[in-house]
Amino acid sequence: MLTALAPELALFALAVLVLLIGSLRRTGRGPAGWLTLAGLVATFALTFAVPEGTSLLNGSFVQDGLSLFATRLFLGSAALSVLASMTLRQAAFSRRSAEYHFAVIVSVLGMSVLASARELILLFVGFELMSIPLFLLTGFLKRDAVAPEAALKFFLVGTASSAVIVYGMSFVYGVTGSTSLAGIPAAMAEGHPLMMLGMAFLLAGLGFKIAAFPFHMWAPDTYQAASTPFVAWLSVAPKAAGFVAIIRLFVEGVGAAALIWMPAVAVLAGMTMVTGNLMAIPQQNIKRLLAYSGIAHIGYMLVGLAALSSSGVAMMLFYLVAYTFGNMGAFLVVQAVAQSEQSEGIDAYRGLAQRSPLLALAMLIFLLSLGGIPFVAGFWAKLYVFWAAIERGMYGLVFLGAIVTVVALYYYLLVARRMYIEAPERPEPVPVPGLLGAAIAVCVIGVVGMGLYPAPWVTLAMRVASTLFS
Amino acid sequence: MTGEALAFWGLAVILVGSALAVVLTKNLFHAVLWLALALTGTAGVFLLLDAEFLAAVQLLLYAGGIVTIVVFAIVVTERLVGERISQTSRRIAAGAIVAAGILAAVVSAVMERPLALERPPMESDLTQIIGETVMTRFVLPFELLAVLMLAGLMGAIYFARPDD
Repeated sequence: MLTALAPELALFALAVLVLLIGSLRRTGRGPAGWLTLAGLVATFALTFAVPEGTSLLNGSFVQDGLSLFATRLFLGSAALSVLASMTLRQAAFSRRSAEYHFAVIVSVLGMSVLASARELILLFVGFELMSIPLFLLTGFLKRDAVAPEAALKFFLVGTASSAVIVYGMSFVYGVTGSTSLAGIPAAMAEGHPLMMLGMAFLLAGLGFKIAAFPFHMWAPDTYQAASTPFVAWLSVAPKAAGFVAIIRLFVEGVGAAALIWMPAVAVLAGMTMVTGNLMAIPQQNIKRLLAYSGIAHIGYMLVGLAALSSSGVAMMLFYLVAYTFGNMGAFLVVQAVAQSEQSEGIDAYRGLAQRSPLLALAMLIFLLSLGGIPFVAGFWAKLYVFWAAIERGMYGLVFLGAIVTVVALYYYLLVARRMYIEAPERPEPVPVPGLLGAAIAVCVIGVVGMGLYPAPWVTLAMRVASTLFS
Repeated sequence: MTGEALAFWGLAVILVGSALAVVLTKNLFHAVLWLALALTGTAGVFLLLDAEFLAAVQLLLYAGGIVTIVVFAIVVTERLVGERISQTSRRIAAGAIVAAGILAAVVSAVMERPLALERPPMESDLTQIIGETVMTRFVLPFELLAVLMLAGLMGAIYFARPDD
């Protein structure tokens, strides 16, 4: 029975171990970082031992294709972030290494519970378990000028959206008479107005969590203030968790009744793509630029979701993986440049190609992937979600998406132009710490690998999505 | 009007009135007192629905614990800042519009398709059943809440402790 819970139990044990070891030693960085990395990788391997399709507690906790897929995404991205964050120089990260990694592990635990939850209370507890450590991690540099304020903003928005989610859940419970998600499809098909109202609240609350328009305002401030290796992870894993929750609530087993949400999700997708891309253009801070571009990517993923078809959800999952590699990679390059230049402005990238050709090439690959240029992962991701939307006849949305993709290329190439065409202000290369370089290399391999050979990822995503519609 | 309906409308007036007072009073300390009244009113609603255990928990945790903590927070913050903090509720108009919209949506939904009014049969010892359910069907969220509390405490200590 406990095999279904194995990854969660392992994460809990790891969290306690890291905290205990941290309390034992008080000097230097300590082994917390390496222990966390090893534990996350071991848990990643452990997920392959969990038999797919097991469930616990009357089906309120399931390990199906979707939950295992998502859990591996959370674990892998967290491992990359931990690897890169070990190169952070600020004293807080070495002195309080145990606290930092404990929070990361607990947040991953929350995400993995969330991905497996088929019951409202467990879903909500998973959400909070994921979110509360994220507030701490955002404000981890507590003597910094901006980090505590960003953490507070993130906290207020996060708790407000949680309240909206619980309010929505109370309506769903009131109509279905059960906290199990299994009752949702029938109630949705029956179409009680209170049920629709509850689901609308849930969509709004989850919209906050994934930073979709018009609930996106918190993202740029939070990203700008928090430490970059953490932001690399914050910009992908909690978003993926939010999408999994949306799939569980709105798509899984709902069948044709889900189609009434299609216009709402399509409008949300269109607005999110347009807002993210247009707001990204004037940004002079690279982290804010990537934050707005991340909002736009949420919009593209919502296009796949709006199709509300097996292939649409599959392509959204494929997009999530491609976005994880591309976006994390870009943020990790930002970390390398920011640490060397003491600047997060896009002008810091002037002449990077002459100073550090490999780092510039890696950044170019990530930007091209985010922009959707052929032969890197992002191209297939965009092509596939648009394809899924066209199958549903959503030509207008795809047309809009294609236009804003061209807009997006403009601001990605603005950064590329600084790296490749403009002259450097200083001749010496940008030093890249070994561990950060390794994390960047993994992202490059992921982006290029998915770009050259997307087939296995597509097959995997299709298989995971098909179980949701049977 | 039955006694139950009378009690409900009485509680409703107290709840809505005190909740409005929480957001509209300038004096932060008064707002907390109104909040305590609102939370006690909620306990009254639970009592009306025969949920004595929930009513007791509501009083102990919210009207007792949470309100005390909020009072502490205000006192300590005012000492740190060295001035009286007053509540500023900006965008009252926008808030009123959103609240009215949600009210209209809920009322119209209930009018269109009324919910069942009869109460489900009450089990004998509700407290015992709650305890059993928490330790069986909801054991996983219950245990995870313990982890959540640990994480929350650690976060609070991290922010509160002085640098060494």
